[in-house]
Amino acid sequence: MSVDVGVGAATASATRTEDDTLVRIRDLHVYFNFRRGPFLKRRDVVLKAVDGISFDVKPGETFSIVGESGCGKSTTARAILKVETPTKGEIIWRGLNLAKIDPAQTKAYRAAVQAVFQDPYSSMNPRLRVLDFVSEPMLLNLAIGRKERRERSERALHQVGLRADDLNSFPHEFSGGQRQRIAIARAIASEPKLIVLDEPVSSLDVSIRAQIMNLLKSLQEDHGYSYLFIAHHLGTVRYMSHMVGVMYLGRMMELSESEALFTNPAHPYTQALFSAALPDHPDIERKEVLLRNDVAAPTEIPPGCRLHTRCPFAMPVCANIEPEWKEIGPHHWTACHLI
Amino acid sequence: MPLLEVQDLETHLVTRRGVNRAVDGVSFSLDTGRSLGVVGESGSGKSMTAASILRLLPQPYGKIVGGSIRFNGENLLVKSEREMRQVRGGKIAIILQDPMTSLNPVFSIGYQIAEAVRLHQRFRGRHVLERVIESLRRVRVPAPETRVRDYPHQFSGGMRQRVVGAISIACEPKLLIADEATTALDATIQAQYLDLLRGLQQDLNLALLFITHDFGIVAKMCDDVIVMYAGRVVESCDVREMFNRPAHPYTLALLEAVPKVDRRVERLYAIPGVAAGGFTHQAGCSFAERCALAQPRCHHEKPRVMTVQPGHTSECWRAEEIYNSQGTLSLHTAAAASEGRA
Repeated sequence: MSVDVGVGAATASATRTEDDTLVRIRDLHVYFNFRRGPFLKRRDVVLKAVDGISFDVKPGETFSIVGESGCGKSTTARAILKVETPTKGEIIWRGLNLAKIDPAQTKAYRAAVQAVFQDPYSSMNPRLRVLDFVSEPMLLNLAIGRKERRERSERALHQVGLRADDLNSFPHEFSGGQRQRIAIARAIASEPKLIVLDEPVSSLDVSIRAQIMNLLKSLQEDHGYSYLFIAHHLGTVRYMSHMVGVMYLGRMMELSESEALFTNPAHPYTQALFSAALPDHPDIERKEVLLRNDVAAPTEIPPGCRLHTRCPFAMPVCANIEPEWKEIGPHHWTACHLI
Repeated sequence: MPLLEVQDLETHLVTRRGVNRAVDGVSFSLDTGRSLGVVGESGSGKSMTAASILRLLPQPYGKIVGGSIRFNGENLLVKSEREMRQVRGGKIAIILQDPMTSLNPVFSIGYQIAEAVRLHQRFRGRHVLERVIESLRRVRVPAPETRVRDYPHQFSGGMRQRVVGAISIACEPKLLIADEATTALDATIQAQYLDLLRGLQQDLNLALLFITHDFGIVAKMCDDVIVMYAGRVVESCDVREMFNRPAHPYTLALLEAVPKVDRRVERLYAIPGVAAGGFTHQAGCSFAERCALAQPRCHHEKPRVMTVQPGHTSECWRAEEIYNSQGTLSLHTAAAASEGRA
């Protein structure tokens, strides 16, 4: 059944424009198998990190995934980066199925898809000069010479607001915000199509966050990069996104054009997430949608709608039947029995 | 008389690189039952202010070199180390960011709460256990009678932070300092925890001091707010005043740098440059270099504390002008204009 749900969303979003989709995620599952428990009672456990999600990333657009820790948003990103292998489902890159591409195509893919991570202190090797760090993806994935790598690195550094002489420095000479700029330079140096941004600003100070977000937006406007943006701060997501997917326990609860989602959240989980957001002003009182209990373990996902153990509006049907994916507005889908 | 009164506090960190004036003349006061937010970016001196109140500065670098801290009418800076131990955890409690480092993994949580009770209160025997269970009930840990025997790893992140909360209120403190206490929590858990703190504040008539970088927490929790930059309080006022009519360019800039959940923002204002640390010593205003509204005098003359309204002060030469402009003074345009000049 979940397969049908995925395809439903696919056809729906495909009608939006002609098929210019950059990445097409179809019914993606990523499971982790391991053994757990005391010695003689050890048993096999399946952790369903991503459990059947589908979405499209369009050229020049930012697709954001929001959700609490453990919902599978980073695992989704890792699958797209080809770090995790999907248990089931497909990732289609401009018509090519990632599971079936040859080594040469893989190299081209790795150059076209880059990533920037949360912590600019642990994502950089302290013993590499900035030049080595920035040109590494080009060295590995593109057949270009040293001179061109250096030129491209200089250009990338210039684009993120640093100077060409910074190429000879080491990471410790830079502040957190500057390091994040260097990480962005590395990502753009190989002229990618898609950049995965996994919490790229959450470890930065408020004033530096705005600098980095504005930089990412201008780069997107100038070069047409697509972003897969993962964040937990909803204001940041609203500022950055064109499309937003809300994940809970490995599954998409709601998927929508960004403004429609923020002005009119449909799913109880989305409403609960928004009602928990801190106010922008002391006079803002939010409508409270409170979830009961704690998040279920991803090794024991509840049957039916996986939110039913926590949902304030749960009905008997929710415990038995998984709700279907429904289009509730232009570019706006959700899966809930209430709607 | 306010419960806590900090005056001209100066705290220095003496390192090999020189003296870092982490807290450089900070004054504020806090009454019983009120909550005060201390906002600032990293290196602004907000955590060092909290550490100075508890006299828990990093040793041997940290030193309070000037000012006074009066709590309940007593000067904390003249107390002996022995007397300070009565204050810490007894009358003033603190909750830190990461509950996993606040709790000891090898002792049951009941033992860790009881430790505080035994140190500060005259309870012994089963009365201690009763007090421990009551504390856990206050922070709404389910089934406290059985959970007292559990260890930190058996709790989720949000529940662990509640246990830290239980330790801090077990001795009925008068002042609770939350130093980025909810930063590590997920949004829904954070909202629950903040609601809990507000409930505790009402039940126990606590004074709350929130050290945070998040304006959302200030908007939700605080009555008053001080904004810190480079070891100084640059603005101090009622929380609604700060959101409606900020009178310092730094506050103005920070408010415009944060993306909003409730409305769409076209372009965030990005403050240029990086925060000034306590090592550098400037003749003028320490924010002048990054300030879109700076005038020549800002660079060589330290601004005075201006009172724009009773209870609302700002340390800026243009405070009155910014306050009276009521938001029409745009940093975007000012920044564009100064770029054009340069």
